[in-house]
Formats: sequence, C-alpha cells, structure tokens
Amino acid sequence: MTPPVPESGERSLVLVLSDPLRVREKNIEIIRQARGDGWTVVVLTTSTPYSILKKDYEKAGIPTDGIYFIDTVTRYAMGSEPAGAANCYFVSNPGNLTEMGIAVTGTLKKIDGDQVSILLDSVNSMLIYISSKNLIKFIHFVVSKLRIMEFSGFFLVVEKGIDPSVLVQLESLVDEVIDQ
Amino acid sequence: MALETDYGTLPQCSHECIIRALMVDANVWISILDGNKRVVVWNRAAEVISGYSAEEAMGESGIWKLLYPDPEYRRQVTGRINEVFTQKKEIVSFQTEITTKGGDKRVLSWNTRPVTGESEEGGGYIMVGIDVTREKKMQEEIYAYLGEAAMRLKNPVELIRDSLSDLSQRVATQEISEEDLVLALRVQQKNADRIVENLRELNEMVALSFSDMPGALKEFLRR
Repeated sequence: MTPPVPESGERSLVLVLSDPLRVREKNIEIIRQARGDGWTVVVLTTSTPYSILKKDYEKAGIPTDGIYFIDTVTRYAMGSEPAGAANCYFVSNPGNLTEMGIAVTGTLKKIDGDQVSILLDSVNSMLIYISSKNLIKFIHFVVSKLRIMEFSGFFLVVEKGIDPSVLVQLESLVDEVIDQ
Repeated sequence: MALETDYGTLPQCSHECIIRALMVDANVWISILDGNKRVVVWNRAAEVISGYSAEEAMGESGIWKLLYPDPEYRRQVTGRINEVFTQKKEIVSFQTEITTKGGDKRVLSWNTRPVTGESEEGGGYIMVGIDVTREKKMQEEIYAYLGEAAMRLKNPVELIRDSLSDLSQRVATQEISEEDLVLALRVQQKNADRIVENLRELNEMVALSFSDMPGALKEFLRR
C-alpha cells in the first residue's frame, strides 16, 4: 500500500477505502508511517478495543508513546473502564456522538506539537450505532475541527459497505481518497 | 370544447356527449391542446390536481408558465412535448413535476399523443396525466430504506463475520489473551444486539410510511 500519510508539513484529510479483510492491516500501516514520520496520532476506534489495538501496534514494532486512543467499545461491552490504560479515553458507547466529540476536542487540545493526525477506524462500524445522516454530521464536525487546528485525518472505510450517495458525501468532506 | 357536468340524460346522449362525460369524470388528468398548443379541454381531474380551473387554463399557453415556473425546467418539458408535434409521435410515461396553484409539487406521469384534425391546420394533442406523487415518494422512501438497511444491517453483519474470523485466527495462532478474547466477543455481541434494534427501527419507519398497511403487519414490524 502506498503510504497515505503526507509529507511533513502537509495537512491532509484522507478517506482510505479498504477491502474488508485488510482493515486491520491498513490501520497498522497508517500508524506505522505516521509514527515513523514523527506524527502524534489519535486513534478513534469504533471497532477494536484499545487493549487489542495497542498490542497489535507493539507486535508490529510500533512504539505506542505518541499514540492517544479514544475507545468507544470497551466500556460499552464490559460496563466499565479497564484499570491502568494510559493515554486512552473511554467513551460510554459508540452511538454517543456528543461524548465522542468532546473526547476528540479534548484530546486534540491537550496534545503538544503541530504534527497531529486522527485515524478513525472505522466509518462502517459507526453505522451500526448511528444513522448515515448523523455519521455525515459527525465526520463534518471532526473534519472542521482538524482544519481549524491544521491537523491531518484518516478515515477508514470499507467501500462496499457504504451506500454510494453516502460515499459521495464523505468524499466531498476530505482532500483525498485512497483506494487500494 | 366546453366541459359538460350534467349528463343526467346519458342514455339519449350522442357519442360526443358520452365521450365528453367520460373525460369530465375520468380519474386522470385529461387535457387537449389544439394545433396552436392552446388548451381546449381541461377536465375535472386536471382542475383538482393542478388547482387551476378550466377557465384559468383554457386558451393561451400561459398555464404552462404557472405549472412549470422554473424557465429552464419548463424549457426541458416543453421541448420534450414538442416532439409530439414535430415528429407526430406518442410519448408514454413521461414524468414531470408541476407546481400547483397552492404551491405544492405534484409528479405526473404523462401519455401524450397527437390528435389528427379535419384540416391541415387542425389537430393537436391529447395529454393524459396520472398523479404518481405518492408512488414516487414511496419509491424514494424505499430506496432510502434499502440503502440505510444495507449500511446498518447487511454490512454490520459482514463486519461481525469478519471480526469473528479474525478472532478465530488470533486464537489459533495464540495471538490473543483470554481477557482480550472475552472483550472482543462482547463487543461483537453488543454489535449484534444493536443490529437487531436497527432492524426494528427501520421496520417501524416502513410501517409509519405506509398508512394503509394492514394493522397486524404493522404491529409485527414494530416488535
């Protein structure tokens, strides 16, 4: 996969279209390159728990300092937050967009540095909990926030699981679409 | 041709009288235009659907500016209708959206064909329009439902399937702790619960959209 992370200094918002069985691989690839280039990354996960993602990154040889997590599934699934989670905000449930928005804003604000990127994994799993209309609103909110703060963003999408009219709306919100 | 509303003497009516009565009370919009594209017949259904009376519609072609106020759209519609005149052909199931006198939008499906006249300058065309506004709305709602259903039902089921396949692989290669496995499985269980709820909500939306759906079916969809 051609790494989608832009050169240092470029702020880009990218829709990354993925085959369903390669989402985990693409997630790791984006994080690997972003961290390799010195970017601080915020992973907003609506599919894989923080604890599993963190171990995936460590197993792939990616240092996890410099990675912040917003985990929307663990607390919802287990009823509580795990103890000892560092650099992770646990949202009560994946459909709580207000709390997710606060988590995104709060996390971005507390990060030092100007090379910051968000990775949303994934757009499709968000649709389990919210309508396509609210999805577009939330993505628009995140994109606006990133543009104001001049940060980058990657939105992972399993292409075949998105209605074409919704995909068109998502594509209109970003700078670039990568389809591999 | 004037509009007749009294056909109490139908059995003694002439052929023309019968035709006139049928056109007046037909459940579909019937307009006839003469060779100069002036409205000469505007039946009761046309009045009801458009909101414009026969008196307002008959005569010069100003009625089309009222029904199609947007100039570009009007140009497209009249261009298509003109094919009937210039090419002497029939147009079937041509849909247009009109603006009624009350400002509402209605979608009509038109069958339009030339009518031959007795003289070379005579003739015109007959337009039969069926109001398909409700059907069109239902069609759009069905499309929206299908799109949303695919994104919020079918695809999530596939996501669960792919996640379970991934978990199965992690277990086989001992890549995942018991604690993380339990967590991951509970996430998928929650996803499945949510999909059931999504199906219920979408079914409720369908039940609300179709007011004439049998009550028992509506109740079943809402469960």
